[in-house]
Amino acid sequence: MNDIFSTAEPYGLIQNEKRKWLNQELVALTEHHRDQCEFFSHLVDKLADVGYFNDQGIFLPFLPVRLFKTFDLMSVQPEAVVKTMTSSGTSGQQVSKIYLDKETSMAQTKTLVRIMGDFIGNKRLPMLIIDSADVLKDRKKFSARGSGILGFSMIGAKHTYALSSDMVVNVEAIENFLDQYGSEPFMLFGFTAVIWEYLYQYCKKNNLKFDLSNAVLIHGGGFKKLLDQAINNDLFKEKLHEHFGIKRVHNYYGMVEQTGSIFVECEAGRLHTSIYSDIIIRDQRTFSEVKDGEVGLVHLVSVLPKSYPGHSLLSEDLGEITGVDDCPCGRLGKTFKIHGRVKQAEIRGCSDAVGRK
Amino acid sequence: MQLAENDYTLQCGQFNPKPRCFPIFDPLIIDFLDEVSRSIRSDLRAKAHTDVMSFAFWCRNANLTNLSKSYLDGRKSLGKGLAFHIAPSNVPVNFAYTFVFGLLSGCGNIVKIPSKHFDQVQIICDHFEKIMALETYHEIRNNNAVISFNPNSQVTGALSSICDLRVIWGGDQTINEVRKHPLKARTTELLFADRYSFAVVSEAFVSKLSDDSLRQYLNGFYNDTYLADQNACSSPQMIIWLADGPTDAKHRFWRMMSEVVLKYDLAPIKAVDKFVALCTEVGTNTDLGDVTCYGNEVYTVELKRIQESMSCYRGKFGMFYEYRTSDFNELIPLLDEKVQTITYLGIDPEHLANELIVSGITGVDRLVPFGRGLEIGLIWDGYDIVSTMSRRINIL
Repeated sequence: MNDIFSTAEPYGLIQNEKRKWLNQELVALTEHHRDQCEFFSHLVDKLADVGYFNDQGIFLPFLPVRLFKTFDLMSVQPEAVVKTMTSSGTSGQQVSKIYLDKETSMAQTKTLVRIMGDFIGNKRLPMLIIDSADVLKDRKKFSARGSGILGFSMIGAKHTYALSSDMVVNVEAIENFLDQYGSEPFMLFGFTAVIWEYLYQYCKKNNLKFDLSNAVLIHGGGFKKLLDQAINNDLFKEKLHEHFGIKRVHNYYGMVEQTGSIFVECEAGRLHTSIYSDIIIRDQRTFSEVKDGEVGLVHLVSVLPKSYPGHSLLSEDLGEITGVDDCPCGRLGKTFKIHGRVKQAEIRGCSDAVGRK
Repeated sequence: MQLAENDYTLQCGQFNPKPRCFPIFDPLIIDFLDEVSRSIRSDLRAKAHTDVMSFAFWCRNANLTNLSKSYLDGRKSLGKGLAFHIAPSNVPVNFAYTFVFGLLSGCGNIVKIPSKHFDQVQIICDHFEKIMALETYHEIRNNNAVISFNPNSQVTGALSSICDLRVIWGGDQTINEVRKHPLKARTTELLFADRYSFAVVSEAFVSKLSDDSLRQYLNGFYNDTYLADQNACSSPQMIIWLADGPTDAKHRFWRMMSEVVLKYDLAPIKAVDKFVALCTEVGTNTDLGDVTCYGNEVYTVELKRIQESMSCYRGKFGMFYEYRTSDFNELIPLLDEKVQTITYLGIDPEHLANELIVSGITGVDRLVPFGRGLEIGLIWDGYDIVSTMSRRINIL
């Protein structure tokens, strides 16, 4: 990777400057993937003149993330793949397959470490993982949860799993961990839905309390599973503070299709884009960029994906830009808010099989 | 047949496993339907649903009498017996049409409504019930029922085993499921399987149209396609351009279409689904000509050649395959039995029909002009419905 990657602060560039550098990298990546990935090259060649691929002043096509479920998209030889990540999927659904070679995998890890360092410092903190060790059973193939845990493990130490194989709170393990490390800052990590259901709700129900006041909680995975209980980001933080004394919380937004260059929630409660990635919000009718503050489809770009064409992706999430270079926390670049997954719609048609994927 | 009363819920009429038959187009039935028609049309609730109002309009005396004319040729026909109808799950008023087709054919009917709730179903059943309650129509009430039941229960099997005619809407998957339940030896079926439809357009004709005329046709095309999410069995998935005129006719057509489509609610999920379909085609098919996106409103994907059969090229939410030819006859061998409707603009349907018959293919049941694609009637999906649902006493 080049200069800026190694030397600049993860949130140290104003948007205009960052975008200039990012665009260079993205254009190069588009060329690279066009050369190396047949599927991508067909797409790029046929849709070269399509208006919305040309509206950033550069040619920047984007792939809908769902393609990674149906096709094996890679820009390397299969022998070079060292890790395959998969998304979490409900039964009967296909999952996304992301093929990583050594270079991309390392770049993702390095970037994650840099980004998290900006929020929790560069010292490796003792890490209590709110999950079961079973999530990492298969070392060659990782689900979104497994990848997240493995990735974040690089920035923590003394890794301890808080839940047993059955996803039950392992009181002994937690108390041991807290005895040794609980009086100093430590890292708490897990998936939003897992933390809520298997830690918070379980502890509440069984009247279990732990003093987690020195924890910095990093969690991701989204609130979609918590929506039917009306739990949003604010309520989540409030309840965890109430019951465990947790004061520092950083939500993050990311997806298995683009790891490493994740988007972390700052002390002021906003999700930040680092210099390694960016978010563009697009109108669903025209795919052109909407004005700041308007809600649309989330388009993610990142300089990291080299072994697979994931540098420019159209997600199925809705979001809005909340600011540019103006966050009270001092970090530069865009901040944004995620509204959630696009809603399923009623589709018309004569066949009873309508809507079944 | 062992069916308990709580195996199903009666929406209107009376559950009668041994109904009497009526002559086809019986005056009592026509009077009944005319009263139902008027009753629905005066209901404020109905006015909010164009499909309900269209159904009511179809059931009026003038239309039914007109339709009966070609059958009242002295033949002695009456209903086949008990008709068991399974309505499609996703077209709210279809249950009413299939019921009415059964009535006009003289059958006693048991109609299963969709499991999903639709206001339209409730409204129409209310009116059927209301008019059936009149003493004049007690025979209709005694011999017909609209019901709901759990499709996974034994009701499907029980009704299949006693009916004289089984009518299955909803496509191949449903047909295959229901067919697992055996029928009596003489029981016939009326099956509405997955179908495929496309359009044929003359470039010369389009180029001679004024903007206003073209826009009118395109509004018709919109009704055939976008109004049903381009997903009705009759919605064109592909346009065949007859190369008999200037090639920019196509661009003019689509540019104007992209304006007409502004009234379509392209929800984010539909935009994503459509974009995924486009990328999937473009990423895997190396035999494509031009691919054009008019915003996300309209996608057109030009094929350089059509593999084996047309029916594998399906769009969605406004994605149209295109193929250009100077001789439509070259495509006829590619029309398999899945093909239902050809929507035409600027060609002579009689001539086309003759070509199809001469070719001897098993596909194509309807040739309709732009705007009338979704118009349902007694000749539908290749069936003469009244003939299929009735029987004829032959006198030597």
